[in-house]
Parts: sequence; C-alpha cells; structure tokens
Amino acid sequence: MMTFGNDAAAQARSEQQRADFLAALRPMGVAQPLPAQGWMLLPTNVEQVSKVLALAQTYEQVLALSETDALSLPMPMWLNMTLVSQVRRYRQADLTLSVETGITFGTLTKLIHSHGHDWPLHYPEEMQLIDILAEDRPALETGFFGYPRDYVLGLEFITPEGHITRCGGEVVKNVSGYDLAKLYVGSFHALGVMSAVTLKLCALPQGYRSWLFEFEDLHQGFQTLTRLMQQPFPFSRCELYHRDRLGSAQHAKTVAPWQLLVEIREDNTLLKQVTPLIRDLVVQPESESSLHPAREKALVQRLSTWPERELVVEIAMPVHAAAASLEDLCFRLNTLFRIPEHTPILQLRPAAGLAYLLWPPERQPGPADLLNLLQEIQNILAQRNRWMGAFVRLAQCPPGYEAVAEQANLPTSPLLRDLMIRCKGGFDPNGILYSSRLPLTAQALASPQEVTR
Amino acid sequence: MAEGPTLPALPSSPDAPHYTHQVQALIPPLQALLGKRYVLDRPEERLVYECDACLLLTAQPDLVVLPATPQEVAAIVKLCREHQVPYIARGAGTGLSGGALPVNGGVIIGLNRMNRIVEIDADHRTATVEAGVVNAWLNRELLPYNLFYAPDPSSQSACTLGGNIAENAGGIHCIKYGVTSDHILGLEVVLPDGSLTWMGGKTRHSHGLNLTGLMVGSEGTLGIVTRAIVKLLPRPQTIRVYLAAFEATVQATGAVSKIIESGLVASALEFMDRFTVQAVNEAFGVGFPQTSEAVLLIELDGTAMTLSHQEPKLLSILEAFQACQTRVAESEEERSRLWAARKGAVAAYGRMLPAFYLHDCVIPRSELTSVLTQIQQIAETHQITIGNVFHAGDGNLHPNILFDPDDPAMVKRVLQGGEEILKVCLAAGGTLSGEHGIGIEKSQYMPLVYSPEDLNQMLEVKSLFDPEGLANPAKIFPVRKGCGETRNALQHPLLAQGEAWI
Repeated sequence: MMTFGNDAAAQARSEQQRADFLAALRPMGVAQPLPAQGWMLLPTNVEQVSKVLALAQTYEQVLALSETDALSLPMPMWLNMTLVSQVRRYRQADLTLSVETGITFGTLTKLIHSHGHDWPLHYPEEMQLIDILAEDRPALETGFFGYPRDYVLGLEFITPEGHITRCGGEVVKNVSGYDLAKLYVGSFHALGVMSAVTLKLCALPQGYRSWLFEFEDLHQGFQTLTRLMQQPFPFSRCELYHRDRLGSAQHAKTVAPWQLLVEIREDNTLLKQVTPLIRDLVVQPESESSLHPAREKALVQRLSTWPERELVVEIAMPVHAAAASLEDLCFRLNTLFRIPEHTPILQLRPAAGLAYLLWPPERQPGPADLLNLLQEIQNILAQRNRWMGAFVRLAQCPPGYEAVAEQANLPTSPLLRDLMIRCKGGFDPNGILYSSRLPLTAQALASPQEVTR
Repeated sequence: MAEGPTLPALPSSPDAPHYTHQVQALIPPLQALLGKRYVLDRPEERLVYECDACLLLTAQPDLVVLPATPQEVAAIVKLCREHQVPYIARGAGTGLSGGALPVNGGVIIGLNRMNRIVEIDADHRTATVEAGVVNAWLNRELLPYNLFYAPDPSSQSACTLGGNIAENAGGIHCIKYGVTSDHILGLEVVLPDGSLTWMGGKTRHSHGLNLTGLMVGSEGTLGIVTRAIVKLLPRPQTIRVYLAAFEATVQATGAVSKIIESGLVASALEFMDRFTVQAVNEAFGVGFPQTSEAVLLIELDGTAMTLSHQEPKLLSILEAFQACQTRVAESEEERSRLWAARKGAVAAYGRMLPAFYLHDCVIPRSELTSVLTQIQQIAETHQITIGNVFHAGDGNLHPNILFDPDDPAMVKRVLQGGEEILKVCLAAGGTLSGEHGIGIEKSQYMPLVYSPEDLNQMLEVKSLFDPEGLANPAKIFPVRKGCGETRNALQHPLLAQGEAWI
C-alpha cells in the first residue's frame, strides 16, 4: 500500500490521490495542515472517524493514530482523536463508565474522582485513553492492579473500512462471543480505531501514603524491596530506579543514587497501622523522605513516560520471583556495560515483572552494540528463568534503531508471527493504518495480505 | 472486512449418518496413531458423548478419539482437515451451553487422557497443566505450596481446565479474583491447520497481539487448547464467610449494590432465593434461615489487619438493609459446608423436578431488584418453577427453570419463559452469558446483543483462524437460514416437532 521509490508516475498518482482525499474531507472540515508537512485529521465524532477511514480506504491513504508514527511517515496523515471525547454513560451505582477514547486521563480522573470512583492505574494527565489502550500501557500500579486491558468491559471499534462495531458490553462478566477487546487493546492502533470504551472502575480509596527510600547501594535497595514485598500489605506502587531517571523532576535534596518509591492506598486508619510496620522493615530507615503531593505528581509523571529521544529497552519476566531475577540481572548487566558512557539508566518494577533500561541520546550505544546487548540479556534471562520465562524488546526506538527493533521485537515463533500477520491482513488488508509498534516487519505491516499469500 | 456476514461453511449433510464415508476413511489412520482402544466408533461408545450438561439438547458424534499428547491432537486435526470432517474438543462434558455437542456429527476429541500437571513453578507462581486436568485436582496439588488457582466453577470437582478455558469459566470467587482469562498466562494451541504453537508464556506482560486473550472463551472454534500456563495466587491468610438473611428480596439486592458501591472488595457475594434455600436445606441440612425471602453468602479474605477494617463496614451495611439474621462461619469446616451447599444448589433442585434449564445472563448490578421482580412475574405467567441462586456481586444471574422433560407442554413453557428472561436481561443493559458460553444453546440470540456488523467482525476472526469452518462448527453464531440440518441433528423431541428453537 505504501509506495516507496522514485517512480515519477507513481509519485504523481500518489499526490493526486492525496489531493482527492483532502478534497473529499473538506465538507467535514477535519483536516488541518501540520507545521512542517502533512496533515492532522481532527474528527469531532465517531461518524466522522468512520467517514475518514472509509475515504482513506477509497483514496489509498495511510493514516497513523499516534503522533510518533504519523511523523515518521513520508507524508504524515495523523488521525487525532482528541475531539472524540464525550462521556457516553456513567453507571455510577455499577462503577462502570462508557466514554469516547479521545478523553485525556486528567479529564477522566477528574470526573470519576468527583463521584468517589477511581481507575487504579494512573498515567500522566495529558495522555489520551486511546493511546493507553493501544499500548495496553503498564502503569506504576500494574504489579498490583493489572493492565488497562483488565478494566475493559466493552469496546466500540471502527474497522479500517469505516464500519462501526462493538464487542463486550457494560457488565462486569461477559462471554457472549469472542472477546475481541482482548485483541484490540494492545494492538498499537494497527487493526482499527478504538473509539469508545466501557471501563470497570473501583471506589476511590479513602487515603494513600507514599514513601521514598534512598540507597547508596543497589543491593540495599533490593534487600528492602524484598522484605517489603514479602509482607501482605496492600501495596499499590513499588518502583526502584536510579536517580538519573528523574531528570528535571529530581528533588534538590536527593543525593543517593538508588531510590525506592512505595505507595499504599487504603483507609486512613489502616495506613496509620501500616506506617510503623513499613519503617521497621527498611534497611536504612533514616533514608526515608516524605513526599509533597506536588513533588509526587512530578515524580510519577516522570516515571510513567519516556523522554522523546531516549532509547528504551523493556524486559519482562515472570512476576513473583522478579525481584530476585532483576537483582541478578542488574549485577550481570554491570559486567555487560563495559563502556561506562553507554551505561543505561535503570528503572525496575518488580511487582509487574518489568525492567526498563533507558539511554539518553548522549549515552546511546550503536545499533550493532545494542543488538549484541539485547542478545546477551536474552541469554541471561534464559539461564535465570526456566521454560518460557521472559522477553526483551525495544520499547522506544529513536531514529537509527528501526532495524534493531524489527529484528529484536519480532515474535520468535514463526507460527505466531504468521497469525499476527493474518490478523493484520484480515482487519486491514490494504495496510491503511500504519503502526511501527506492532512487532512485525515493515513489509508485513504495509502489505499484510501479500506477505501472508 | 469481507462483504456481508459470512458464516464459516457448515458441512451440510441433512440426513444422519453425517460423515459415514469420511469417518470410515479416518478410522484406520486414527487407530494407527492412537491405538484401537482410543478410537471409539461403536454406537454404544459414542452414545456417552451425545450431550453435555445442557440437558435440552443431544447430538451423536460419528467418532470419538482420545489422544494423550498435544502432538496426537495436532495429528488428529490434520487428518480431520484432510478428510473435511468437523471436530469438537471435549473435556468433562460439564458445559451448560451445548458447546461440546457435535451438532452436525463429526469427531469428538476427548482430552481427558491429557490430565497431567506438567509443572508447578512455585517460585514464579505458575502451573503448566494439560487441558484434561480437573480444576479441583490442581487446587488439591497446590495445597502444600500454600497457593491456589482462583477460578472455581460450581462443577470444579469434575470440569477440566481446558473446558474452563474454552468457556472462560468463572465461579464464586471471580468477583474479586476475575474469570479464567484473568488467570491464563500462556496457551499451547492446536490451530485448525494442525500446527501446534504456544501463545504467551509465564510473563504477565504480553508482546504483540494478545492472541492468548482472544483464544480464551472462544469455545474451541479457533483451535484446541492442549496445555496452559496458569497464574497461581497465595492463599489468603484469613477467610471469613458471612450469611445474611433478609425478609425482602429488595433488601438483599440493595445490600449487594451498597457493598459494591462502598468499595468493599468481597471475595464472594452470592444470592439465594427462598425456593433455593428450602431446596438446599432439604438436600444438605445446612440450616439456612427458611422463612427469609433471600440469603446472601458473603466472603471476605485477606490479612487479619484488612479484615478487621472490612468487617465492621460489611456488618453496618447488612444492618442498614435490615438483615434479619447475620452469622459468621469462622471455622474451615463450617465455611466448607456453606459453600458446598451453595455449589450443590443445582443438584438440590433435582429433588424437585428431574431436569433444569439454566440461564447465565449478566445485568448491571444496579438492576438486580427490577430484573428479579420481572423474572418472578415470568414464572407466574408461564406457570414455571424458577430457583434463583447466583453471583450477585457480578450481576451474573442463574435462573434455574425446573422441568420434566417428559411433559412437552411444560418444556414449551420453559423455553418461552427462558426466552423472556433473556430479553428482560438484555433490556436492562445485560448480556447473554457471563461464564457458561454461548455454545449452540444461545447462538440464536446473539443478534439480540450484536449487530450484523459486530457479528461479521467476529466471524472474520473465525475465518482468519479456521477458514474451512471445521473447528467446533455451528457454535456461538446463529446458524444460517436453510440450516435445517442443524436443527434436525438435535434430538430434543420439541425440536423434532418443529417447535421453538432455543
């Protein structure tokens, strides 16, 4: 579908089709030019989204739903869902909310908090629900409250041909037909457009308490972490990271390199009971510092997002033994990072079995070195974890690393790869929805049907 | 997407026997693969497989095979594909929606010999099991590790994990712990082309499209699950079960809504009506309060510290909704007795009438009072007996309509009443099934829930996996007009008379 190359006739045809597409969109008034080149399409309702997709199909236009993907296209055509953000139905007594997916997390939480409800996974306020769902994005709370997918009761989904479809419903249990929401959430915008969702909510906890512990030594951090995790406390966050991860959000007083953020959301009386017990378990209780809510907000914001040009590797492993596995991995990584200037910043989320290695632009290794490193990490994980243990992938890929991502992120099973291509080809045979994040080759993403054939 | 709704091709063979010719050709290679003992072709052997726990429907397979390994399952599927014979995976046959019925004949692939717990990985809190492992066996084996597998359908002493995965089974404790799909990390699947692959693994985080999640609850129509990696949980330190009796249904349902709204996370929240209480008391002698209109069984679990905070909250709600009796089962023995009685409720109905037709609709929890009232009215209008015992915390109703299969007039009323109940639930914003699946029994009602576009989308997925439509055909989706052969293949007398299709 996407045309590459210098064929002048093809180029002229492509430009004509784009012009025709934009002309067809004009009555809706949804297209706006982007500052450099390309267009942003801003539909205001689901019907307009459907029409935009149908027209893109007719005029063979490739659309992208994420800004990063759009801007990586030769001629960006960014389908931006910001204005499709209405609340459809809020069943307060049932703790369910049906809402269009262009809504930001900040608006969503403001609404539900005002009714005493919460979505326990927290994200930066400006992040749109559609992006959270498209990535099935882990949150700081994922180890304790799961993934966005776990809260989706029903979805409205617009196919690349513009058909508006639904799956699931508004009830908390549902086995009526295939659970297509499981397939759509986490599909990186590659199969269609999730335009509205019904979410399962929970009651807003009466209170919360965060602790930040600092350590000179990573091992001490792990010791404290392990002790805490062995307790049956109702934790909601537990994050161990290097201070460099915070960048400008760093607190002036912070001096120790390793920091452990722990949070509990509960009744205030229970929090009072738990607080001294937690302090007793900390290796260096004097390292505790209290968090001002504003500082905590900045800290969570920073820990939940990756700066644009950073290279990010995500490591996933089985959850329960993750703390031990992660500690082992960290110490082995020390021997891997032979060139200090290429040492990554570590962020560990043991309760979710996740670890992130981040390289700011000035520290990034070359693509070949990175590929070797990923292979070595994979080997370490394979030794440490028994059968079907863990995987490593490039979660954020600055320009120059695309080939590494394609190679490293592909599912290892050819059958699984084939199934994913079949799904992409079945939903979007002409490849009008571009997504660089679905772990398939560029060719399979652009022309899935041809690859399958 | 493809043009218009396209159902996978159903093998059409209106008159029994269905696949005689093809099956005869299949028998020698299957016997060579499995051994003669595990290829059942005699009528008396096949008879055992003509129904599941959906008592209204029967249909005989042409052949039953009993493989012992995933590779054997894959080879069977390849052979079936080669001879264009449909195949239906089957576990213990405890399904309640006719999901394991060979509607048009074909080969039943019984997975009961694949009953090994391959691995208990206590470090990573996972277990790898074969599809034929009985749900309760796994929990028995997990006792020494102080771990448990949460989904606990009432049939857990018999039902298999493969069947649980196919139907996305729930159970009493899924209000807190979630349904089967929340506990499946990885699946080994035989795809309809006969290939064998793993999806997912031991990590919770997934990579690429979540095919594991799609496969759970697909009722064997996208492939056959042969092994699974399941998530295990630590056993709670403290468990307390409360029994609360109410003089009016509205008080009990009000208490349920308030418990949900308050954020109190009960690990079970079950409702029984007066009729059920009486049936259970007669059958098990548990001494539930006989005169009350409704009884709630509520379980809280967690640490002693959290329970000490939750208990006063719960008791104050029960008091506010005028529970006429509240008692707590502290001992393990008493708790087990209460849950055994609850799980045995359907069996207890057997003392009243020989058969039951069980619905599984889910409604918004705030609609409980209104829908229960309407169900009562439907029972009165059609002069049918309905017992209500259900997962109130999930809004997952289980109206059990009791009947005598030898009384055609009664069966007709049962079917009419059943359909009205479904429609009432759907009108309240509900859905057809919360944990039993659609199978053949509810497939005709799918257009009441989904538009043709929605169903077409699901069928498109079906055709991506199973373009030849041989994997458990005629399930989930309504059969096309002109599929009289499907109807004829089912041997319920009412259907044979050309009466209502359920």
